[in-house]
Amino acid sequence: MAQFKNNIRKKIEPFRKFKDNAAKSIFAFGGFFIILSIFLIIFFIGKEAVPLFKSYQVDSNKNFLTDKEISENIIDFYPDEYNENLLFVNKDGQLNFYNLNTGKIKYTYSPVLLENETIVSSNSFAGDLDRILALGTSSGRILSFKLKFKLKYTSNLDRIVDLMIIPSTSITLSENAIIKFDLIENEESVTAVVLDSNKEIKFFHSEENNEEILSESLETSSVNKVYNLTTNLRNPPTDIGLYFHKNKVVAASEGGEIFLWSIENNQVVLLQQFKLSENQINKITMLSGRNSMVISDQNGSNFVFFLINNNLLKIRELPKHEHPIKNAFRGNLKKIFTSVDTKGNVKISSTTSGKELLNFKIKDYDLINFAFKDIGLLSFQNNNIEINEFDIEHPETSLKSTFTKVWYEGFQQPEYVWQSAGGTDDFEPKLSLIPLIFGTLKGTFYAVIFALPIAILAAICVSQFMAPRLKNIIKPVIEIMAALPSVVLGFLAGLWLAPRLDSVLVGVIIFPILLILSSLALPPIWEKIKEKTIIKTEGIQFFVISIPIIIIIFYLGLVLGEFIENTIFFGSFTDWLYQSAGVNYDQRNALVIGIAMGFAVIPIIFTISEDALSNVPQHLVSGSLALGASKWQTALKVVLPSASPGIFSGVMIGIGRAIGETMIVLMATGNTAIMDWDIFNGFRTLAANIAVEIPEAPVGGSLYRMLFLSSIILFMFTFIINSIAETVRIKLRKKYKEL
Amino acid sequence: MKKYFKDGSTYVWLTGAMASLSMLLVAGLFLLIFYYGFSTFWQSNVATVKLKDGSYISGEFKKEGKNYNDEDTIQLKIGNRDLYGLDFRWFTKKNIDSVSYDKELLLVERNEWGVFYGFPKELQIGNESIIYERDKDRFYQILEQKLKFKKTVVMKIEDLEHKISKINYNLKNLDLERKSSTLERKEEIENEVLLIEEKYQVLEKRLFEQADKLKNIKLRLYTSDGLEKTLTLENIERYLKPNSLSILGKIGLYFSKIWEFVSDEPRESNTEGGVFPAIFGTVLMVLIMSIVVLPLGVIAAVYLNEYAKPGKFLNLVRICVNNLAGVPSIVFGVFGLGFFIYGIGGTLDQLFFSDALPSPTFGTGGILWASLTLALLTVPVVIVSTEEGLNAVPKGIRDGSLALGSTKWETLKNIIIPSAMPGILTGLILAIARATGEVAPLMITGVVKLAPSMPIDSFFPYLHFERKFMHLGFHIYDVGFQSPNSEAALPMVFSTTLLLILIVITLNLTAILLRNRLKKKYKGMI
Repeated sequence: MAQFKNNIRKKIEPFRKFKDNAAKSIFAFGGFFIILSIFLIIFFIGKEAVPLFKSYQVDSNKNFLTDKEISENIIDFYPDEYNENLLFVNKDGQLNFYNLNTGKIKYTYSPVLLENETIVSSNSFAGDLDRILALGTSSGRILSFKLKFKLKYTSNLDRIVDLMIIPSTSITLSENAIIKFDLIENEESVTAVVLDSNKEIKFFHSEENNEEILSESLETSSVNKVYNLTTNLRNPPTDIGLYFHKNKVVAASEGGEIFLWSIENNQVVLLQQFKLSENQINKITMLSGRNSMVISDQNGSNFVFFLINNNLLKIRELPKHEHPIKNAFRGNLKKIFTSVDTKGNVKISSTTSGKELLNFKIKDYDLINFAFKDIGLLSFQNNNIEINEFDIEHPETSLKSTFTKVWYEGFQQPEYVWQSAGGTDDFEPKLSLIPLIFGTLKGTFYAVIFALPIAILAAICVSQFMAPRLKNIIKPVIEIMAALPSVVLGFLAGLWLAPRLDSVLVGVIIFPILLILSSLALPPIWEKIKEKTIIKTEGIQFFVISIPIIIIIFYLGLVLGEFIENTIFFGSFTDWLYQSAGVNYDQRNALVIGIAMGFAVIPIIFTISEDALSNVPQHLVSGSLALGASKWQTALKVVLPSASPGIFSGVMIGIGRAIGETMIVLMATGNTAIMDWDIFNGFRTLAANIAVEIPEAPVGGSLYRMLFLSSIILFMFTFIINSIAETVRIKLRKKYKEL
Repeated sequence: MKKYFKDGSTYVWLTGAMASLSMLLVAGLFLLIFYYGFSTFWQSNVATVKLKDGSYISGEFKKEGKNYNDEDTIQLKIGNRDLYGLDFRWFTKKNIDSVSYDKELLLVERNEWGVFYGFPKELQIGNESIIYERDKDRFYQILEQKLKFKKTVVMKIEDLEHKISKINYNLKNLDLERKSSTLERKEEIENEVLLIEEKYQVLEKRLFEQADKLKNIKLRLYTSDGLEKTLTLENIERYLKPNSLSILGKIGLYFSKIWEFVSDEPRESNTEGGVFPAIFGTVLMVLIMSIVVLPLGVIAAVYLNEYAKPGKFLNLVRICVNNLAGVPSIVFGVFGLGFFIYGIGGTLDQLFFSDALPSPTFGTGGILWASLTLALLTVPVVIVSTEEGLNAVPKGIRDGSLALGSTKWETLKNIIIPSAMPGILTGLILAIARATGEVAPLMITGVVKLAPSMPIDSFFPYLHFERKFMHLGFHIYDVGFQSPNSEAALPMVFSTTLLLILIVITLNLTAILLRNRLKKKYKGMI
């Protein structure tokens, strides 16, 4: 029999051991992996946010050779959206669309020119629908054309870009050759400013539509719309620019002066004239949207200027070059600025933050142009084309622009702004996290202000003065409060409380004051009642009496509030507030949030504080009472100090909850990202902002990544706060054990 | 007086007042929700108000207030949104001449434009017409009959719609197949498509025939101010005579309305009807989440408590796990969006559903991703609670098992985990309660206002993980804050809130009871 048992044992034993080991490795590996992967969440979110602040580099440097004859007469060239085809502008007016890979001309267009007329200058920019190419001629004309690009795919998914050129406008501005010009052309009007070979600046504006101008194109009947702006200049002008208002012209001179004119009611007004420095100004670059400009000078400096109240203001300096600046380009889609100096050094910087995004060096060149979709720089010498490609994904974000004040276009001063989307195409996203962090702290502050006294005082009462039987009812009830879904609190706050609050506002503010006053007056009466009856403070009877009293006090508060409102505030507190203090009362404001979020925070602070208070070793309490201290004195001087770390950790965890709360804030504030501590205003928090914006944020865009960054900040905030709280709590538990 | 300050009765009173105040706050909150939530279903009498200017209007009294001139006003739900443009109107009390409750007044619940208050005039069935005034009993008899008839027709329509959706499903599959098949197969598919489309035409024709049957039956009504309105049978959900209902009748109506609320589909962009799809979505999401979170949480907890080497590092890990429970839920939502949806979902789409691109299959929010996100969110809850359960198992039991020669795994499997079961269950229930009430992370990982189809249906593979779904919590947010007619939607939101709260509180109470049982079970054991 024993033999038999042993046999079985021998058979089973290895298997058991194997199972045990297997379980051990499964649990060890699985458990470790699960915990690790939870923590990997933070790294993943971080990985998504990091590209916001990365530095950029040139992704590829390509060189192409073209036929000598093709490149002989070229005065300028323009790339398509993919840097695969170039449009060459020839001196004699011929426009050739050339494919870089095949080396063949795909399309040629020759505009009608006058006798002996040649093309001297050219320019290209985005029009209403199509890109527009404009040419300045030797006889003082500007010709413009619509470039219609068409994208096709072959059966092998190869990209084919075709081009059609349609003539648009032709205007005559001068008798001399047009050296430089700037043009705004759209459906309603044509505006142009030119600098001619006689160093004169001419301005043209017409509200007629393009066809009418076109029909009279070869005559010079439009001369009456031309204004000469040269009269004020002492030094020869070097460059000109046109503001989006269409009647403001800016010019720079060899002597470092800058001029701003306005053309109103057929009159030229010089609005401003100043000397920037002794250095000759080489380039004026109107930034996209034509709200602001960059001025580049002989010394290699680049300055961003804003036009504020008809006044040019130097806002910031962009990265400086060692050598004079030869060429400069604005970004067409992004708020970037590219400058090239005489030695071929290229710097790309953000016009919003002034941060240098990229710098590299190119070979000597005769002609240079910036890729239309801001993805490369193309330079041309003899018959060699050099293409440097790069992708600056997030030019507008830097640590500085996220956390410090930035002077944005159209603003009177530097400000913290969160504004991720706007109505117009050239809208500039303003992604400062400061207003959101501010909103988060504001919401948390008011929630804690509301919750702290209630939760801690209630915890003291429940732990120190209350009969255990009652305690066993009250504790779970308040804990159930913690389980209330925040969407419910948010809904009640937003749709039930907020519309009712403004009519009883004064009463609600008076209520806590009355409550404190009542605690001075009522105890003597209470003592009297206690003497005469058998009712005791500790028992359920206290609640039976105190609850109606609180309701009465609240009602009194409301009545008194209405009385005060009618007598002191002329019937409406909110109107009075607006008229006397200029405070605008938002229906969904910080007070509503404070109350609603207080509901979420009270049970947390209460539970943890109550635990800490009731776990204070009993012999400390007994000792104090034995020495003749009253119950309150014991609670205040003995229990409270030794439990204070526990209360502290409860408050911290409550703060952590309030910081991350999403639904309440989303539903019960107006979600406006303003920075104002006022209790009657709304705000926008980090968490609510994520919920509002992330469904609309394009994947991989600056906004998307910025929202990931806000998540990281939220995570860090709460994680650190909770860690502090937890450490304090563990230390306290140890201390109690030792006692 | 001085004595009171010294021995602190004042402060004791204040602390007591705060304790009472917090009880009041909780009680007030629940009373508010219960009051509004339950009163939604109660049908009050419908008044016909005669104004001083001689005009009449019918509606239900809702609440009283004051206007800018400090005159007493009263709010009436006047319904008939198609005629009046708004559901509610305020009247100054002094403008009201008299109020009557007409027994013949009819309340019609409709498919669109909300309720209709008015008086019956005529029932038209094809060419036949029944005038109400001539034969009231017959009028209602026929109307009742026709509503029953409508039910059978609606069932037929639903059947046809189901068949049509099957055809659409087949067509979609064929369409996807066509993209990636040989030329011969393509021709076959074309033929199949033609055949199916023929079937489709037939079904559609039958569907229209059925719908026409309902359109031919018309109910003519007029409002108390004399406007006429003709409703076709297909628009009529039900009718009742609120003022002639007995108390018992009203109670019956009350419960039938509650039943409608939990079992019906929503109507009128969620502001009327039921919330069944939202309940279904919530339950299914929580179920998928539980299946994921339970093994993850238990394995991690067993590892931490039984296998990992105790020490400072382990304590640190434990604190971190504990703290994860306090990380804002929206952060997990952001993770779910970036990692599950755009990361894994995008990759899955490219590997297996490239035919359907660029419209995403798994690369967009869906019930699977939402459940996984919530599983991550609630894993710390399960870990902490399971560890508590494991810790509570007395050392004596553990040592006894080992001393009898069982291996660690056997002890774990047969002794420790069964003993810790209440702890594990508590964790799971708390996780479920949290997931049920959570909205923020769901908003960005797959919850929608109105899901076109349920995540479970009769088409292969029956359970559609990639589908979007509805959720009770989001329903509250959406109907309360995004609906164009938020005042009319308010009762609905309160009912949904009540339902959600009942679920969450029940779950939490169960968890508390289980935990207490666990504590009691091992009290006194070492």
